[in-house]
Amino acid sequence: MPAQFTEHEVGERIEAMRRRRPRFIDERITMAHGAGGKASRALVEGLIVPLLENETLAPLSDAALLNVGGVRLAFTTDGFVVRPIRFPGGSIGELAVNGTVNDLAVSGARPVALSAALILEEGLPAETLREEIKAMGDAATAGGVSVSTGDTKVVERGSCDSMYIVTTGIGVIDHDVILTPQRVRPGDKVLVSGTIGDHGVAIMLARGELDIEADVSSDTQPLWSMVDRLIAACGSQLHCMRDATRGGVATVLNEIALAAEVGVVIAEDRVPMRPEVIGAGEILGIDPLWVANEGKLVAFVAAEAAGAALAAMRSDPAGVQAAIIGEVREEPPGRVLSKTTFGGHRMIDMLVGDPLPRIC
Amino acid sequence: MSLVPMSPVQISIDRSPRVSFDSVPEVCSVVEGCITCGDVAVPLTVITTDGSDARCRDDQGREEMVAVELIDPVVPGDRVLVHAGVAIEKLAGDGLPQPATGSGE
Amino acid sequence: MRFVDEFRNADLAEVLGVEITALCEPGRHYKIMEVCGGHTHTIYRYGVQDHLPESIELVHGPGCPVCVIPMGRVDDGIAIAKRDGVILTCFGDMMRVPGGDGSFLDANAAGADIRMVYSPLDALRIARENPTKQVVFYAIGFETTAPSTALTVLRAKQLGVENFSVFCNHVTIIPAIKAILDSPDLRLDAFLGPGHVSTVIGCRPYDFISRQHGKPLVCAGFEPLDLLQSVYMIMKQLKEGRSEVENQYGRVVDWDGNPRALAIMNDVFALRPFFEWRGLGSIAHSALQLSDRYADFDAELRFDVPGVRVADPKACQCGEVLKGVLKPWECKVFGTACTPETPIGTCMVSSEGACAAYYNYGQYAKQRIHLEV
Repeated sequence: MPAQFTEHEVGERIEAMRRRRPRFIDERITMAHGAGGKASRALVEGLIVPLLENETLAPLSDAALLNVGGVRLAFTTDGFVVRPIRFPGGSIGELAVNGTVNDLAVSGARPVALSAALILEEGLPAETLREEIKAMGDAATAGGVSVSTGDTKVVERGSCDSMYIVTTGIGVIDHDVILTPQRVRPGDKVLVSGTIGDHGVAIMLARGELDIEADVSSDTQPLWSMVDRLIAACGSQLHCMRDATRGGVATVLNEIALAAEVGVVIAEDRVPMRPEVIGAGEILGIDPLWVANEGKLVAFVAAEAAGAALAAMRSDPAGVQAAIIGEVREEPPGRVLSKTTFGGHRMIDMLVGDPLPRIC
Repeated sequence: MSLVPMSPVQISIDRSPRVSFDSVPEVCSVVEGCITCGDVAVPLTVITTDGSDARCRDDQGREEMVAVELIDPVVPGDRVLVHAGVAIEKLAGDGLPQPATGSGE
Repeated sequence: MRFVDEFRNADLAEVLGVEITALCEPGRHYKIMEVCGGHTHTIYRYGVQDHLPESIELVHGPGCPVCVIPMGRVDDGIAIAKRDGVILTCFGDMMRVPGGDGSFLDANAAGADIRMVYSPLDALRIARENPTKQVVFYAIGFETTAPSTALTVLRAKQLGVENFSVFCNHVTIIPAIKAILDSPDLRLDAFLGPGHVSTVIGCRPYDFISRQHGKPLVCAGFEPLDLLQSVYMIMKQLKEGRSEVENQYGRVVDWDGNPRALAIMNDVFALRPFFEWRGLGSIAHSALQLSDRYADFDAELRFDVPGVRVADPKACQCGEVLKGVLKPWECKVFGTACTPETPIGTCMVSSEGACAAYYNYGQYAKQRIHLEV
C-alpha cells in the first residue's frame, strides 16, 4: 500500500511543527516544565508569553534589553530551587548571585546591582541561613556587584524545601556591540568557555541516592570579567552568547539554530569534558552535552575573530579551558549535528524530558 | 533529604530517604536510553565477599552490594558483569574490549 | 586513556567500513535487524551507520521489554499500587510508560506509593523494613533481568518474607524473533544478537534462526566497533553462503550461557501460554509467570487486578514497522497522531524504537554525513 506522503513531506511536516510556537495543553504543571528543555519552552511560549505579550519580552533571551534615557540596560531575573542547597563546589546562595550575574554578562552587560528575595521554610536552622547569606555576599564581591535590596518571607514547614532564592539584576551595556541570535551567520565559529557537565553531575552526586564517589564540583563562577575581555578583543565580531544552564550546551545550540535559522555543527572530541564527568555520566546514563552548567557560556563569533576570542577567554581564570567546538552552516537549518568520537554523526536535539530536576 | 509533597493529600511526615520521583529517568529517553531496554550490564571488581553477596566497585569508585550466587565463587580482585544488582557472569579478563581476534566458538 | 576508547576508535572504524563495503554484492540491498535496545542506542549515539555503505540498512527490532508491555498491564500495576498499605516498586524505566489512564508517575503524584529501585533485591529490603506493608515488585525485562527476579524470590522464600510479591512481566526474546521470522512479509537478511541476554541464555537458542530460516546471527557487544565487527562477520557469512550463529562478544558471552541462572529461572518461573506484546499482538510462550511452587509470591494471585485488555488503536502499524516491512514515516499515524510526546505504539513509546528514533533524528540519520569540523 503506498504511503500517504513521501518521506520528504513527512520530514517537512516535522520540521514545521518544531518551529511552530508550542501550544501548552497540559492540565497540570509537571517537573518536566522546569527542566529547561522542550516542555519549559512550551510553558513559556505557549502559556506565559501570550498573556504578557510585549516587545521587550519577545526575544526571550537571557536578559531584557532596555533603553532608559539613552542608557542601555540589561535586566534579568532567576529563581533558585536547587536541591540539595549545599553541594561540592558551592551552594544555593552562590548560585543565586552568579546565575544572575552571568545572565547579565552574556547579554554584554556589566553587572551593577542585584536584589534578592528569600523564601525560607519554617524550621530552617539559622546557621544555615547565615552561611548562605555569607555565600551570597562573597559571590557578589567576587562578581563585582552588590546585593542592594531584598525581601524575606517565611512559609510553613513543608511548603518549600529549606530555602528558595530569587535574584534580579541590572547591568549596563557601555559598548556598541549588538548581541542577538539574528547576527549569527554561516561561517561563524562556536566556542565554549570550559568543561561542560560539571554542575549537573555534582548535584546528582550530592543527592546521595547513588553510591558513587567522584571528584566532581559545581563550576559556579561569575563570567563578567571573561566576557569583558571577549568584547574588548572581538567587538562587533562577537555575534551572540548564551550561558549554558538548564538543558546544557545542546539546548543552547538548538535555541540559536532555531532562532537564527542556521545549522550548527560540532565535533564531540573538541568539547572540553572532565574524565570524571564523562565517567559518572556513563554510569548515571546522562550525556554531559545536556547537563546544566553554572559557570560556562557558549559564544558565536565571526570566523576571522575566533582566534582572538579563544585567546581572550583563555586569558581569564574562568576560561582557561575554552575551546572552539564547531561552526555555523546554512544546512540543515534549525538543526544541530555533531561528529561523534567514533567518526559518525548524530543529531543533537534540545532536552525533552527531565533527567535532572531542580538543578539550579 | 526533605520530603517533597506530591499533592495536598499526602501529609506523611516520614522523612526516610524514599527515592523521590525527581530522579526518575525519562522512559527511553533519546539521550540516555533505557536501563532495562538498553540491556545495560556493568563490569565491576570484587572488593570483599560476604556469603552470597559481594561488595563490588566500578572504575569510577562507585561501590554496591551484588548478589553473586549465580556465578562461580569469587575472590577479591575478580571481575564480574552485573545487571540489576545481580552478577550474571564472571569475566575472564577485565571485561574491557580486547583487540578483535576471531569469532564464535 | 581507558582501554575502551580503543573500541570507539574512528580510524579502525573506517578500515572496517571499507572491508564491509567490499563484501557487498553490487545492486543488492541488505537489511540487518538488531533486537537489543543497547545496540540501537550505540548505533545512534556514535553514528555507526555512517561507516556502512548505503546498501546496508540496520533495522530496529522489538528490543524494548519495557515498551512492549500492554497498557492493560500498566493499569493493573496502578490498581495494586492504589490499594491501602501497598508499596509498589519498579525500575525507573517503568515510571513513565503510559497505561490506559496515566503512568506510574501520574499515579504516584496522585497519592499511590510507587518507588523506584535499581534491583529487585532493593524491593525485598524495603519489604523487610516495612513489615506492615505489602511490597510488590513490578518485574520487567528480558532474560538478562529475569535471573535477578528469580534470585530475589528464592531469597524471599528462604528468609520467610511474607509481605513481598512479584507482578511478573518478564518476556523472552526468542518468541519475539520467531514472530518476526514467521511473518510472510519477512525481508531481513540477518540478525545482530542481543549482548547481555545471551550471557544468560547462551548462543544455542538462536540455532533455529540460522538452521531453519537461513539467516546468520552474530551476538554483538555494545561498543561501536563491536557492532561494526559483527556486521563484518555477517557480511562474510552472506558472501560465503553460510548461515550460522557466531559470537562476536566472546569476552563476555559464553556459548552455554549461565547454567545456574537458567536453573533458577526454570525453578521460579513457568512459561505463560500466551502474552500480549504491544505492537506485535499475542505471542505464545513468550513471557514468564511465577511457577506453582512460588505461587505465594505471585502478586496476580495475591491481589485482584482488573486484567482488562486495552487494545492498541487500529491505526497502529507497529507490527509492520517492527518486521522491517514498513518504514516509520510510511505509517499512517506517524508524526500526526503518534509522536514521542503522544505515542500510540511501542515503536514510538521507546526512544530506541524505530519510529521515535526516526522522528528525533529525522532524515539525517539515514544520510551518510561526514563532518569536517
